[in-house]
Amino acid sequence: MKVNKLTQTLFNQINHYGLVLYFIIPYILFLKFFQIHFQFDYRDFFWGFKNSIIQSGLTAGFVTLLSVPLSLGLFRLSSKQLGVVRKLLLIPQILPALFSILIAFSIFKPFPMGTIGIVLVFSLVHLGYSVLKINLAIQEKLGSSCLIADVFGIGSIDFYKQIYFPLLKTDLLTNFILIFTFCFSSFSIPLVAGGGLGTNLEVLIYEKIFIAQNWSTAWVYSGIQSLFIFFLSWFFLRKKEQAASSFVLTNRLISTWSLLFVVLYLGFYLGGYLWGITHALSSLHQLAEFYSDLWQASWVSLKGLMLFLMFCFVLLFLLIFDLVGYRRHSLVSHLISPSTILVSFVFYLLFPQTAGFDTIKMVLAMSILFFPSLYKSFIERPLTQLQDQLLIAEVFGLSKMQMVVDVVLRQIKKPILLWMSFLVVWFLSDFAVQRALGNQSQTVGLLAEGFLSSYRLSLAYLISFYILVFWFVVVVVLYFILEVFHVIYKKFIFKIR
Amino acid sequence: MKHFIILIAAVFIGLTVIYFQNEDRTKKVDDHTLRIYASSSFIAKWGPGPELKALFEKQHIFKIEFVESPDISMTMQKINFEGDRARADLVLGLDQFDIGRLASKIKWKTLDIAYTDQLTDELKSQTDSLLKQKNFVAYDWAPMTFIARRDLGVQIDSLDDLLKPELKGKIALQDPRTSSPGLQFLSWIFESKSAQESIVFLKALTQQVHSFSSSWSAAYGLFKNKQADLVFSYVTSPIYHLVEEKDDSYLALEFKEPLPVQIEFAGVPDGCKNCEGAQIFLKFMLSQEAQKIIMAKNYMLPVVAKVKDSTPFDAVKVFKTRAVQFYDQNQIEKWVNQWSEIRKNEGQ
Repeated sequence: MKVNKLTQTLFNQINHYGLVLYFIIPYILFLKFFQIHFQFDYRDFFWGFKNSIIQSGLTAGFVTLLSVPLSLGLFRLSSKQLGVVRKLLLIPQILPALFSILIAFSIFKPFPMGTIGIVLVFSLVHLGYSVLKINLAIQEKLGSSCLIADVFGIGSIDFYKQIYFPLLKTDLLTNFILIFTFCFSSFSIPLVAGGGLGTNLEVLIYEKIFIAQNWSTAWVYSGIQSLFIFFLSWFFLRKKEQAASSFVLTNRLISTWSLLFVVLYLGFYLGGYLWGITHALSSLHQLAEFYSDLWQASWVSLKGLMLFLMFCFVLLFLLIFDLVGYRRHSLVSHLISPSTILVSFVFYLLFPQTAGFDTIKMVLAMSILFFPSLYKSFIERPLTQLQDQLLIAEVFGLSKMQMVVDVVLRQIKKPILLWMSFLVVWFLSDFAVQRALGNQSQTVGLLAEGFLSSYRLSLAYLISFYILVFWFVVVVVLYFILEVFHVIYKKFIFKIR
Repeated sequence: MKHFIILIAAVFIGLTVIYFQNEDRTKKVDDHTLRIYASSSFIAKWGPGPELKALFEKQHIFKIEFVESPDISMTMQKINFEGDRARADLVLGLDQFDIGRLASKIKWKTLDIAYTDQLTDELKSQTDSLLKQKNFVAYDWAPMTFIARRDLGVQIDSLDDLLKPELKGKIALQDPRTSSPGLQFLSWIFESKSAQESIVFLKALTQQVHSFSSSWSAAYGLFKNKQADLVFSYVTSPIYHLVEEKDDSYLALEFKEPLPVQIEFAGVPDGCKNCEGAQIFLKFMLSQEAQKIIMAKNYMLPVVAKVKDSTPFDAVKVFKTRAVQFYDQNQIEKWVNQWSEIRKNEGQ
């Protein structure tokens, strides 16, 4: 009995610290390859840092402000329509950054390269997500205040000043910080849409590693960048959740104009994409030459994806275990924006450059890069809301395993599915991380990038659409697997217990 | 709990087994395998790699294993860090700037391949420069200039013409920090003008250009997307449009300043395992058949005479070109820093 308890305590300790260690391992491994001499060019650093702050701050401010009126447009929709529009609003965040850049280039002619261009593309990518977040926050936080405001005849300005902003200020700030962190360490958008201007910190890290080969400075810059985001997340994204009260919708919150703007935004974005796809259909015959490559790339992607998802599930399980044990979220949830360049470069150096190691490299690098931010976006909040239930479960003497499986996992099926679907599409559509990892086997993401960089734009569009279909099929299959697993669990295992 | 720990242990043991199995497999490379580092565009289905591999394997006992190099700088660092464990028999795709900046990261074999007497007439003037490179062999080349559509409507004969007000916001260039053509352009300015004139010209040009893209392909994409009217590229670019797209509306511009030349080189790292095979492959790359494949797939000019005769490449005007220079790292850094300072002071 005593030995069992000791094992459990030991496991909890290893799990708690091991998880944090795993997510910061690239920074430690970097020291295996390079000796760090603390060279620090203040002027250089503050130039990049200032650009990162300006680009992320302007985007986060602009997108959050715009989301306040636009989110009201969603209340004009029926629940069925809302379901569809919600999914459409997430597409800009799902599609690879390069496609958003292409869409922006086709909308804005001439495209304003530099900070304005970067902010435009960032806004295009994050606006949908932000509108959705604010809309959900309104439903959660406003409760029946709109009805009360209507009854008391409170004017619009007073409503926003005294009810809307005070109740939603935490959510607006959270939204601002989330978008700020997403943009802060972005690499491809500032690199391409900047057109040589607006070099941000992540691009500076890239230059230090690949051009100047000044690894010490790259490590220091990257460390400061990650710490900055960690502390932002720590201070601003640890809000205490209040219980959601039932929401009463009144005409005050319904806006046809806002809906029109939302439709316009979706029209611009998806229209630009669909225009590309429609034009690309005339080149469908060219794809025939690449069927065998596509088949092979799909197989490699699928194999990697399965291992990646399994690994992410293990990490999720461990994080939930940690939460159950310590009753607070692990520090991992704040490690949301590590340097893509540094993480990829470390694994590139660590593993031999042969196809056999591609999967391992992808699983490790992408879990470190994607897992924490998606965990924060989709899983952390539902888990926080279960804290009281976990306390009760503990009082009733449930084991940790029972708490994880019977209390937590059964109730966060939907967030897990959403989290998983993002993991799937980010994994499938990524090419930047895979290129930086020096992967030798072709995946669907790399195939799309190969077409893009060789001016086979139509084929790149077709592959991007194929990726979306691939993603949809994988998510549906996984949904059914989860459902079947759930039924088996409920019917058999739960009864046996 | 016990089951869960077992599950986690099983996953990690599984990953470890895969790791060691793969590592073991990588060690079992036979003596006939030739490991060649090349860019993704070289080994892609539409690049020269697959055809060269097929032809070479038909003629020799060696098997080629291409290793996709994400970036030449990364490749050099990787080979450098792996030391004796590195399995690099041949590295392709180095240009004059890479040789100046990166080649010193690793040791190279001295190559005993006499090819300068076979050079094309246009390259004959570069023989001295090429002969100085004992560790590298040139396999393709092209002068670089601005590409425009035939309906441009602006007369451009010299670098100064790029400052014409009609071209404001219409020129797509490459960032010299991340792109080799960007460095070519920068060196073209600094070599064509005095240091002071170059700075003044660059300051004026940064106000004039549409953008400095991170790569040649990104800049060319802007030009193709009609975001820009001029792009700095290869004199062979119009041939690509003619052959692949049956479009003859593009042309390479002639300048009164001699054009910079980009030459691609191959080198054999000193730690090569199949050094003999690497040298044989290099000789093969200079054969008429291989040069034809490289020219047709890479859209670059062959280094060997008579290869482009009676092909669309025969019509490519080479114009007046500069002598090939191999700049040292300090020189390149100095130019790039000057460019960066101008960009920083310009705004962001």
